[in-house]
Formats: sequence, C-alpha cells, structure tokens
Amino acid sequence: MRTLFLYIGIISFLTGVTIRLLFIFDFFFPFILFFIAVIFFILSKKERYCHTEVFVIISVTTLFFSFGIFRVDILESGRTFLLDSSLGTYSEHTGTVITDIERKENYNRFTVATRGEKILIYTNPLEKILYGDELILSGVLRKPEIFYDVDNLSNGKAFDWPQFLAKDEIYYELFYPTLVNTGKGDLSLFQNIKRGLFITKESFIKNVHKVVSEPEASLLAGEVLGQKSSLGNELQESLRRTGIIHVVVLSGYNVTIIADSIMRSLSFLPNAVSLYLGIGGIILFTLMTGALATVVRASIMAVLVILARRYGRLYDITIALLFAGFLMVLHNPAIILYDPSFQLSFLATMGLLYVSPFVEKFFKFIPKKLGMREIFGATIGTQIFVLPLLVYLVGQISLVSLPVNILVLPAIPLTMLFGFMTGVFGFISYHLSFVFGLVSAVFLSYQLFVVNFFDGSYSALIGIHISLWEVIFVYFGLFMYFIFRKKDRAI
Amino acid sequence: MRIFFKKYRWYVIIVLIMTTILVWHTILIEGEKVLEISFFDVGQGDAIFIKSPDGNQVLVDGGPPNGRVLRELGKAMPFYDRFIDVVIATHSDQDHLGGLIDVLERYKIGLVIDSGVYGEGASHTQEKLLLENKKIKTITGKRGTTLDLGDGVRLEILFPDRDVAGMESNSTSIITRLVYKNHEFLLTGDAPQNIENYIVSEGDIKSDVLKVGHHGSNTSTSPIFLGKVKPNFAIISAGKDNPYGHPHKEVVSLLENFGVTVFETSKMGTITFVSDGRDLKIK
Repeated sequence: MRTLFLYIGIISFLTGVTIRLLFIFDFFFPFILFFIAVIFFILSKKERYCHTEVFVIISVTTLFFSFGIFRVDILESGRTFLLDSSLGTYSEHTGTVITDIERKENYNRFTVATRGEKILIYTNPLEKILYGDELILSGVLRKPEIFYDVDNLSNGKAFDWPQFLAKDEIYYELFYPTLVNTGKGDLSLFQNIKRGLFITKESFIKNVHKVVSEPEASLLAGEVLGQKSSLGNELQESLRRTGIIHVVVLSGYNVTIIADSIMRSLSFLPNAVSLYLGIGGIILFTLMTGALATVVRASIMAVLVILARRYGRLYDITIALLFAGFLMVLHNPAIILYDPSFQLSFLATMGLLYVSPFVEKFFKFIPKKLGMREIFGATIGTQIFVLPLLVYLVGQISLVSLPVNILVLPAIPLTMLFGFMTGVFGFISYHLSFVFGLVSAVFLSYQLFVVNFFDGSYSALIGIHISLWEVIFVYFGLFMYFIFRKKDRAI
Repeated sequence: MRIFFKKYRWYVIIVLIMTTILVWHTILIEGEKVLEISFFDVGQGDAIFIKSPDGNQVLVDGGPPNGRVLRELGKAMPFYDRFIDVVIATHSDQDHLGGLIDVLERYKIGLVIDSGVYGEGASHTQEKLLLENKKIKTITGKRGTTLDLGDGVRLEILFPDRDVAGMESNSTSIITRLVYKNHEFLLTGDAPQNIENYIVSEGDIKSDVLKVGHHGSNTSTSPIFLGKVKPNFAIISAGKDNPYGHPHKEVVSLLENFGVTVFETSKMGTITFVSDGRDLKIK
C-alpha cells in the first residue's frame, strides 16, 4: 500500500510539473489544491466513512500535484531578465565561461555567466577559450528564436530553441562578439576541478587526433566522450537517417554500455569487485565528460540498471528509477518537457529493464556468443521504448534503424575500449597509441561502412507527425502496464 | 594454450579476418603509380592535395577552420598514414590558413612553406605557436624554389619573387605550378590581376588545369593571364551560396569565351585529376 502511494505521489508530481509547464495558472491555485488535499486527509481519518483509502489517494494525488505546480512557480519567479535593457544594442559584457566549448562546423559555442544572467556565445572556431576563462565581450545581444533545425532540414519541423535554452536558464544569445580573454577567472574549488577535467578531455581527444584520421576520429570522440559536434553535418545527418545517432550522444544507453563491458571483461573477478569497478568506470566516465548535468542524470540511471542486474528485483528497481527521475525533475523541472536527453535516457533505461528480457525470449535462435543475444535484445528493447518519443521529436521513422543498430552496436564496446586506450596511451607513448588507434580505426571504418551502405541504398525515412498529447498518452499507458503488472520477477 | 583458444576462438578469428582485410587494403591502395591532384570541397576556401607517383604528398592550403579538410584528407590518405611531406600556406587569410591549423596539430609535417607574412587574425597567431611548439621546419616561399616530388614531378614556386611584407594579403599569395611530363597545373591562391599580369612576363606558365584565383572573384583572372595559361580545365573552389557571390558571373563567362571547361567544387564536391604523364583523367 505504501509503495502504491509512492507511485501515485511521484506520478502526480510529474503530471503537475508537466501541466504547469504547458499552462499558466493563478498564483494561488496550488495553495487551493493544498487545502483540498488537507481536507480529504482529515476526512479519511473520520471513521464513519467506509472507503477511507479512496480519500487518502485523492489527498496524496492532489497534494503532489500541487507540489509539482508550485515547483514550476518557484522556477519561473526566479527569472529576472536583467539584460533585457541591452537587447538589440551594441553593449559590453564581462563574464566567465561556465560550459564546455561545443565545436560546430562554422563556430564554437559556449555559455557565459554575467551579472546573474547567462548568455550563449558563438565565436570563430579558432578562438582558444577554456571553461572558466574570463571574457570581455562586445556585440549585439539577441533573444533566441524558434527555428527550423539546421541539422535536420529534411523533416521541416520547427525546433523550440528558446524553450530548449530556457531549461538551462539561458535567455540571451551573442553572435561573433569581439572578445578579450583575460585568462582564468575567480573559480570555486568545484569549478577548478571541472576546468582540469575539461583540459584533460581536450588532451585526450588531441591524442586520438594524432593517430586516427577523420571522420573516424570524430566518431571515436563521439562514442567515447559524447562529443558529437565535430562530426560534421553530413555524417550527423547520415547517422540520424539510419537511426544510430544515439551512439554519439551521451545518454543512459551509452553509459550503461561502458559499465556493462567493463564488468563483462572483468567477470573472472569476484562479483562484488567487478560491480564496484563497473560503477567506478561510470564515475570516471562522468568526470571525463566534465560532469555535465545530462551525463550525471544518465549515469545515475545506468548505475541503477547495473544494480538491478546484480541484485534487484524489477519491482525495487522501478521504484528507484522513478524516484531518481523524481529527484531530477525536482532539481530542474524544465527537463521533463524540454530536455530530450533526459527523456531518452529515462525511457531507454526502462526499455532495457522491461522490454529487453521479454524480447530476448523470442530470439533463442541467436547464439549467446559474444553476448550477441543480449545485445540484440537490448537494441530492440530500447528502440521500441524510445520510438514514440523519437517520432515525436524528429517527426520521422528510420526504416533501416533496426538492421543498422544490430550490425553496429556489437562493435561499440570494443571500439570504446580500444578508443579509450588510444587516448590514454597517447599520454605515454605515441607508438603504443598508434597501434591502438589502428585497431579502433578498423572498428570505426566498419561502422561507417554499415551506415553508408544503408544510408545510400534505401530511402530510409518516413515522415510521421504525432502530437505531444498522443506521446504522453502512449507512455502513460505503457508505464501503467509495466508498473501495475502483477508478476514480479527477477532479472 | 588450448583452453585459451577454445575460450577466445571467436576473438582470434575476428582479429585474423581484420588483419587480412587490412593487408589487402594496403596493397590495393598503394599500388598505383600515378600523379593525383585533388581540389577538396571545403566550402568557401581552397585546399589542394597532391600525391606524386612516388607517394610524396603536398597540401596547398587547408580551407576554412570547419574540419572539412580533415575529412577529405581522411579519404585521400590511407588511414595509417599520419605524415604529409610538405604543407604550403599560400597566404594568411582564414579561408586558406584556418583549416591548416587542424592539419598542423594532427599530422606530422616534413616542411611548411609560407609567404613569411604574419597577419593579426586568430589563425595566424595559432599557426605561429604551433610551428614553434612542434618545431616544424618552415621556409619562406620564393620564386626559383622547386620541389622534386619524385618520378619527374616538380612543384615550382613562381611568386613571390621579393619580400612581400606590408603588402595586402591576397597579393602575397604563393603561386605554384605543378609539372609532370606533359601536364601542368597552376595554383594561384588569391593572387589579384596585377600579380597575374606580372608573372605572365616572367616565363612560361601554360597549364592544362588552372585553379581560378580567389574563388572566381572578379579581382582575379585577367584576360591577358588566361590567354597565356591557355587551360583546358578550370577549377573554382568556393562554397555553395557564399556571401561574396563567388564565382562572379564575368569570370565564368570569360572562361567560357576562352573555351575552358569549368568545374566547381560547390557543385561537384571534391575534384580529382589523375595523370600518368600522358593521359589526364578526372576521377
């Protein structure tokens, strides 16, 4: 009964957040709901009613629903728009770089914090800028606008860029400002560590670049560190058309695979040791990517999956996963609607836990060699589960996604392993790194071959447009089915 | 040992198959003895890659810093090859030098030839730093210098023939001419018309293929110059829908009037000529 309340509470909270993000209510609305909840709770204590549990359920639902609404109210009341006065005019801003530098084909992009606001900056790709640098920027400040995704022109779907940025509280953009880099700004201990991590990552990627050529090197950086930006628009488009783009985007999937392959290669050690090393691997990976919020969230989910595989019953792990999701949304409510990375990680993890073991049963004819059946199951399980959301997000279904995934994914753990070695040994010896680089390059060329083959041979895409409500409805149904299924089984 | 093989049989088989593919791959791509010159599609900019029959490689410019030159090099060179013999930076504009920064960072370079003029842009400071840090041998390109690329392939530097410090950057462009038996290729960087007209008087510049100066801008390609070069083919290396309107209409129609076949990287992608000294083919 208690876990039932927990489920209801979390789901009501998430519903509250979602509805409040879509609609604006009067400020007193959550307080009114809060009082209704209290009244129902008091009523449930009166013994003259026979179905008191119904009152409790109504009370819990209303209470958490109002919390959800209230959480978003707090978020929005914190928005100040201090820089609105300098919009559209040439102005000077001094601030510190607070994100990693994203390298795109024609510009570098990063966020600067200045006087309590954040600005997204676009610069010449050759400017050398690091996390934590203090910059003096002059240019014309603008507000982000809704646009047709340039990376994904084929579907013509508008991308809500302002909302996407708003989830990180960024409300301003500055294009190609004249900038003066005054070097490292005043950083906290945590920021100093982060800066160190980003510098290490840069060197790691440089090591890879010295021994692996393009586009293999970028694919490697994408798979090992989630750096998809340097892939180039053409290859990114190919990966998207063939439904394999997720291998270069940091998601729960990516993280789980690392941990999984570390644990499998160490299976000769006692269980507990390989478990700790697996979790250690995830933490190391998270740090290496600079502990971005999206990666931290994905990692938490990956750790849950590992624990589930080792000890848990599905039942416990569902609560844990849902609770983790609850905490993440509590921390930043906007992610539930506007952060595809969070949504996909969460769904992929659910798919891995629920659908994959179910799918594996139907593929007994696939040999267990090299973990083939598991990979097959994992691929299909996660694909099925993220499909409705993916269709909503990109407005397309890739027809070749399944064969491409099945051919490419088995090569990923080894590619990541050798790719990691390439980068690490680059710090010690060029020649050693070169050898590992060669092996990685072979794996990577194979993956590119598969992608190009399927991308070129078939018209891979079908455009489908579904509404947000349909997506929410489908997932609500799926969750209800899995959560309230009677059978509880071990994984 | 037997247990090892039993347990890891599949891994061993995969490694063996991969090795076989690798060896054959190497034999097949390194087999041909021809001169290849590729005009890379790098968007708005120039990047030209020369591979001599003896396997010597020269990269002339690297396009803008958008990473495309790296992907093109990845296609043009075998994936284990991390060495480029000579890199030529014709002049200091970002659409020529920008992409070279990545190349200098990632590849081992035998020799860098530049115009000796250092501009103020981000690309130039970085080039200087890189050359100093990596201790790459650097010389200033001067008329009279000829690179022997083996098997009779020569790369001649035609300009500058003087100290170009202080001149406007396009005018400092290093002009090179690649000669292999019956075939010549003329690469003029962004050299403007007055420089073109100047080198006409300095010696034979007849060439089969002309890389049209300054991406087809009307500031380059004078009729006098074109009359002396008498190319059969002209390459225009410019980005699709670039903000400068390159190639300019008058340049394209001038080329057509001279009966020159024009190829554009923005339409055809990377354009590669293959020559064995007698036949010139487009790959």
